[in-house]
Amino acid sequence: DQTIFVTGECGGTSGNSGHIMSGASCKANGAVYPASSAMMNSVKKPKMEQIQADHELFLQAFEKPTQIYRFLRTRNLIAPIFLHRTLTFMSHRNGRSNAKRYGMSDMFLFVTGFFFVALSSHLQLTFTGFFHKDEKPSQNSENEQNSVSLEVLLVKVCHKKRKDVSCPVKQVPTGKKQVPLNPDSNQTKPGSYPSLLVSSNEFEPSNSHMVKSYSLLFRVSRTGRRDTNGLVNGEANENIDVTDTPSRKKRSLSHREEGETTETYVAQMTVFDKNRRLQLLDGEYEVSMQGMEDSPVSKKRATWETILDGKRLPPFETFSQGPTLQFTLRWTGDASGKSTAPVAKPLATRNSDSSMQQQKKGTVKESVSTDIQTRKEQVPCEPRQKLRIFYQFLYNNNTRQQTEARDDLHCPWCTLNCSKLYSLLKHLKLSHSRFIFNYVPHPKGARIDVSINECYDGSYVGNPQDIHSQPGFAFSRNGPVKRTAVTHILVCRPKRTKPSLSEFLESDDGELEQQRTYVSGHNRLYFHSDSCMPLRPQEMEVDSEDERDPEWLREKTATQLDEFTDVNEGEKEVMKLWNLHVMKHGFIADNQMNQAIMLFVENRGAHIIRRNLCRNFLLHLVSMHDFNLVSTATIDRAMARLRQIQEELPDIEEDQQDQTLVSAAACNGNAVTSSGGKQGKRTKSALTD
Amino acid sequence: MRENKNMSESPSQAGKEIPAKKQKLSSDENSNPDLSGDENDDAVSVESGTNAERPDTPTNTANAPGRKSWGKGKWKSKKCRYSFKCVNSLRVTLYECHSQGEIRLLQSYVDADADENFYTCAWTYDTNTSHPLLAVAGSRGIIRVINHITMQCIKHYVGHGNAINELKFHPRDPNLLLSVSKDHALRLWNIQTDTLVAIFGGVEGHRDEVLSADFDLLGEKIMSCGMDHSLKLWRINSERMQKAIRGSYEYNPSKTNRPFVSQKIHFPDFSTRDIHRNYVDCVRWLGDLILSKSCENAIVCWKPGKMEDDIDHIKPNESNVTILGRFDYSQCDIWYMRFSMDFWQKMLALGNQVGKLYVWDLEVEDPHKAKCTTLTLPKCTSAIRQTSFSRDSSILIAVCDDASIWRWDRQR
Repeated sequence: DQTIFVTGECGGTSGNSGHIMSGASCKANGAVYPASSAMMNSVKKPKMEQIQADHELFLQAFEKPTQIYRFLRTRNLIAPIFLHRTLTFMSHRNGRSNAKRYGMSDMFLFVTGFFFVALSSHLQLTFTGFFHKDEKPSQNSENEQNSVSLEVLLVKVCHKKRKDVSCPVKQVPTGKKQVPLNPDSNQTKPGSYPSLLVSSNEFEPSNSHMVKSYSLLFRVSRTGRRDTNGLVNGEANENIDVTDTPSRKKRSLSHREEGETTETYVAQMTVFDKNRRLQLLDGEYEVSMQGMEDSPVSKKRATWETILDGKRLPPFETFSQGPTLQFTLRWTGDASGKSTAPVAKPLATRNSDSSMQQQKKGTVKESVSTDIQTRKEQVPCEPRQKLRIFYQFLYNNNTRQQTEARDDLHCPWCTLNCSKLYSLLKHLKLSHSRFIFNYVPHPKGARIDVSINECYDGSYVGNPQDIHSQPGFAFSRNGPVKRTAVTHILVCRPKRTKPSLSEFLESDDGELEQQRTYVSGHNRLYFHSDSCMPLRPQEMEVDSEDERDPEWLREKTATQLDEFTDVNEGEKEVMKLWNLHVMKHGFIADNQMNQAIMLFVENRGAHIIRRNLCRNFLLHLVSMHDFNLVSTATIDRAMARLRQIQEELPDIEEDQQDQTLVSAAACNGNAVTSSGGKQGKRTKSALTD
Repeated sequence: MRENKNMSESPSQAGKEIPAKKQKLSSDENSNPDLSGDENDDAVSVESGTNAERPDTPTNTANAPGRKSWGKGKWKSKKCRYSFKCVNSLRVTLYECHSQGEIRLLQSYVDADADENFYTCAWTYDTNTSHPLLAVAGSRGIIRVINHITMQCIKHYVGHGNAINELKFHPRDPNLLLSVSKDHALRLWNIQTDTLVAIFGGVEGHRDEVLSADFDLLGEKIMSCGMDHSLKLWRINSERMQKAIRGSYEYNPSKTNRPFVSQKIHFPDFSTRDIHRNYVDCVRWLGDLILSKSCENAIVCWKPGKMEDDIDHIKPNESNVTILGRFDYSQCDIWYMRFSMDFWQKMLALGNQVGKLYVWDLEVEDPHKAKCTTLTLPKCTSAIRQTSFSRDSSILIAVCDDASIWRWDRQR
């Protein structure tokens, strides 16, 4: 009986405050748990309705958040947003220990050691055999059927040069061997396997191109019989290429010259990847081969896949079904020397300990204790014996409680195995912040008080850009997606305190502050003012929305002027030009007018001359003078400047229509006379058409 | 006209049992648990052996079980081949029309926001995958594009400042989506590149909610109408708009840090308030003519300018309109009642607020004499907000305020 419910009526009658209540319940629980049966008997059996009503209240409080967390758990399994093992407090979940991982120095060793390995080591491949299930074991007397022809090529992918469209690829044949087909391992003597040596020279940098990566291409061609032909093609099926190397590029090579009855299988393995890390360590390899006819699987649509413990997944079935090539790989100092490279260890079963825990539910003790033994404990107060976690749910304004006990350190909401009490508490606090968790030490293990976090802020705290990215971020993800690129400057890096269980104890004063959600940086989203469309962070610098004369206003001004009936077309045109000019430069005061006119002549003079509007413009100046806006001196200067522009103009306008020139000249003449003559004279009637 | 007549009056082989089925289905409205799909199938199977005995009833009617009883919102139904969809409240439901009058529920989408209330929907297709796509929008002003093959909401467009009253896809470019909104403006989106091509509205735009809009047959111009009693013409074959549309296809947000510049079209190419004296809640092109309605119990057929004027040469300041005809009906003086035409623009259908369906046959020489057929059913009594024909105009779907869907099949 791992789970025991204790329904206590902790002062339900007296209106005690929550704080006192929890203290009381703590005591009650400590006493209640070991002799629960006795307690239950002694307490007057509550009526059924009471239990139900109480359960209702319990559900009311905890059902919804629990559902949410269950959903999130499932979603995190299908499409994880983050990986638990990357969290600092979950570092023990990281299956790879740091000792085994290549650190920076190792990387350096590989990078620099690359040449070392290349210069000193030859790659020796010893082929055990080519296994193809559909072929009967090599009992046939015919020699031909007992072996297949294997060709090994070293593929060098070189760095792209400026002129190259794609990365140049060089294939260096390293040898051809006859490899036994489906050999019986008992029969063949170890020494008789065909062996191949890839010279160290091959890994030396070539002159013409810097080689980016090296890989081995195995090509097995078998002269098959006619009757098996169709069968082989058929069962080459949907195998995704499962060479056990990260490089999965298949190159389709035309390799049909050997006749119709030849089947070709290929596989490629990376020796040095593009970071120049050695990928092939010494060891025995079995490579799944793929028929040449197969079209490569599109890798465009990546999806998340969860590999369950011990479950045989389809890709690995290819090893039992599809054609495979077995060989032993060794890096040797010389042709017969000893290995110089590290030996690959067989793959350890992932999460083997956690799967054990799931299977043997009753025997959590062992696994927990082994866990503790194998890993250095950072939390000193962690008890070594059986840990029992009591979850005490407080609800109905902390006047009611229910206790549930667990014997493991799995999170009750997302079944995540936290392995350590500290990690569990940290996980609960950070991942399930709809609740408040308070840790209380307990002789049998730990007690965690769970109550609803009334201050929980359910509003979106992520990057608002993600909401507006297409397609939406939360629900339309099929696999890993590229996030919107936003650079956040981390301004705060609080000192990481040593993990201690005391941080989960209920504090007296800092309570509220503790529960505040952590928001880093400011997540603000801006919108374009004219279209209300979300502004991408890259667009922040571009801002052309504060102009004084938006296009619509210019158009509106023009159309409004067009509606005048008591001015002629020439006047309208000057008015439009002038209004747009004033609007654009934002002239607002009378004393700016002199300056405005000079600027207008400067900008629009050529246009005025071309459109034969000089006299209309003069009229405009005159009426401005009437309103005491400009001085006569300005009019003189403006007209002089216009004339000057006029004189410069014909050179530019050489290729323009003669008519324009003529009219411009005429206009010029008029302008000269009128500016030279009386200034206040109204010449409206004499103007255009 | 014969077809319409048949539709309402003439006997048919299915005559006997179909009314029975209709009753059954209608009783399902009252949540009769006995009715199930099996019974529907039974009824259909009986059909072949039954003779016509009930000449005075509609031949083929069904309503889909409309259990979403909170459907007080605006409705819309649309068809894509034989499947159509309904939007109401926060739910989008896809149905499929089968032969023999059956309506089968295929999929239903519920918006995550409980405040959402979908008003409108439109079909298009993905130009790459040829998947049919469904755009829906409503009170929140967010356009959602649903791919019901992958069963995902693949796009969403935020930008409208208020509810969206109608969505329309360009007749020739399946990526161009027009949305009309309560924010007084229309927007043209490119759903392939997720760009906002243009906003139609502003200084000379609508002065109140835009309620409806329609592309002409070639997709060269848009006619919009709204609560300001006006109808406005927006040309999109102009140099400026064509450039903007081309630019929207060329825009690649991952290649540039500059935003796509949407065109702001403040000035319509024609505007009138002379057709209606109330909210104009539906407009459709009929060739170069325009059909529009207000809540004045008439659909008006008119054209901008004088009788002899060409629509493509109408000036923005043209003040004349020519009314060519009216289709009168009764008991339809509430707003947000949409009429529809079939693909070939030969039939026109409109429901009124007491559940009566008017169908006009436009295929007559004199449009004034277009004969009207009324389709009525005793059980269908609430306002029919929207109607829709199937592509071959053999099926007419009507959706009501009481969350019922009615299907009328044309008898040839």
